[in-house]
Amino acid sequence: MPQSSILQFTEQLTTNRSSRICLWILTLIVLLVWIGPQLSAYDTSTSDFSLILSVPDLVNGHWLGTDALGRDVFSRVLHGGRVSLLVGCVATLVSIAIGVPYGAIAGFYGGRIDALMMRVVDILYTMPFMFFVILLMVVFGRNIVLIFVAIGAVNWLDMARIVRGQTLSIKNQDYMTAAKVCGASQWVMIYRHVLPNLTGVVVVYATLNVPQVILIESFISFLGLGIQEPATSWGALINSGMRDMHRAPWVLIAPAVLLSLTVLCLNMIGDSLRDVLDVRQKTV
Amino acid sequence: MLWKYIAQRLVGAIPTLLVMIFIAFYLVHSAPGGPFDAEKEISAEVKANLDRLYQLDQPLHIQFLNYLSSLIQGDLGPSFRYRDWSVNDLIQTGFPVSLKLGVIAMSLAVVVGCMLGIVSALNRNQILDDWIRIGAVTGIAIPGFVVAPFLILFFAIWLGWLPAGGWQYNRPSDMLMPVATLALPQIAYITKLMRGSMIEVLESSYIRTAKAKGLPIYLIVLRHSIKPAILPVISYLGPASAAIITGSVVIEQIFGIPGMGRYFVQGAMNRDYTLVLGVVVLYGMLILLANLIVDLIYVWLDPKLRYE
Repeated sequence: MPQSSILQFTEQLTTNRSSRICLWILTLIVLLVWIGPQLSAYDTSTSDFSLILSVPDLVNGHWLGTDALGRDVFSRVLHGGRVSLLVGCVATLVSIAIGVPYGAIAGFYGGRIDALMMRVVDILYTMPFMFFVILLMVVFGRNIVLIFVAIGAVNWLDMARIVRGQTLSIKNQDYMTAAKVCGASQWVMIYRHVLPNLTGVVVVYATLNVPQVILIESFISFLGLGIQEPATSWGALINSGMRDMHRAPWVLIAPAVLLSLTVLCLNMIGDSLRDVLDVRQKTV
Repeated sequence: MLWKYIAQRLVGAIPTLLVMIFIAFYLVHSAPGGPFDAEKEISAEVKANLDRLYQLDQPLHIQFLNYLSSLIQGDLGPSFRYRDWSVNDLIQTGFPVSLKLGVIAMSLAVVVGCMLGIVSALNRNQILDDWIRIGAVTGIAIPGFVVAPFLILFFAIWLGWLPAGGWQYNRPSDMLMPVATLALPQIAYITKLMRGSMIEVLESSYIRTAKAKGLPIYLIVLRHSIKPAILPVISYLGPASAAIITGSVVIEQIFGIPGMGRYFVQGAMNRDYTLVLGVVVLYGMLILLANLIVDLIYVWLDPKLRYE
């Protein structure tokens, strides 16, 4: 993307009121998750058995109360948020790393290669992929790195499809013909002309992919099949919050609100990015 | 013509199905630790006998072929964890419950989603439309496992109106919250889709003609707009049924509903190979079938495709 269009685009993005609010909320959440745990006097795993399920209290430093083991909810929620956001970003990077080259190659070469590659995507697309992620968790144990890779590895299909569509339309542009006439090699054409023009689409769908991944991870962790103690994520916290909600609703409310807000804001920002960059019309 | 299309699609689904079974089978069988790893160690002899009984001593590709051939005969094998139960038995007890839940949620999602979408489109850019859109965006973002605990908190714990979980004698009060939770994100998505396509249809020239000849708005909607506008919703029903199937796993877990999803989660926790494999295979087939049905409805609704 050239400099001027980046400026223009941030301007357009921030003039849209709802997406501006979302951007602020999201920035706030990211900052909280990043530096918040340092502000709290308590760490995530120290139990205080004299303060089990205590009410949120500004005086004793348990700003969001404590859970069933007397642990500080505030720092647990923020640490859980780190894991959730990290999974969202890393798994999205994995799906970009697989999906973009895959889609670009299929779209660029076209013909039989394209048909074969897209047939593979079609077949994988109808798979019950959530169950495959759960199977992967069950089979290879529940460590964080694997969660990243597993989700990314099943989540690249959308990216591949969209990138392929975009590449097909780029291929028919005049500048591609011009490049060919000038004798540019295939790699130069892909590297100099196709990839830069894919940036917009990839940014939009990566943004929309992050909340999806966060939801998948929390779904699995909620079932107790994802992240394991002492590490935690919003999904796991919602699950443990649900067990004590009749006595201590704040244990449930804190992670539930943060997760919902994050996903909501990312969706809104992704949608308005799509409108601003006008991606949908180009991908036909 | 139609039968030929159906046959073509069914044949086309076979490779997909095979790939799916293959991946699931090899994943499950590459798990470290076997189904008989209990806390109490069993003697090597007993283990060898058990392995022979369940044919776990054979090479993996032979096991895979055995599994396929019994699958074709409709036999999913014995459960490794539930003694005296076959996977078929477990699925037979769990599946009707899950199916009922899913079908009710899906119908609710289509009816309510389409209605809200139409209302929203007719009141475009007015206050009602704004609220419906905000509701839809929120509904898409908030997952079932967040909605469900709050519903339980309000309606079961604080107000005491509904049971917090369980599934007895088909009581409607047991179904209310699970169905609502399962349907909510789909209602939101369908509302969004229906609103978009309805607005597009309402701007087309034949609707302008209908307006010009003085047809009342409800007739324009009923006679001329719903059918073309509903097509994107129909094509979304394939992914929607996959989402409802996946969602039902967590909903059944939360509300303690004895459906297939619970068996899946328990099977995954217990390393019950055959059960997990059986459920994944069945879910996969269901999703393929749902996609086929959706495509048929689409062809039936869209005359452009019908004559091709």
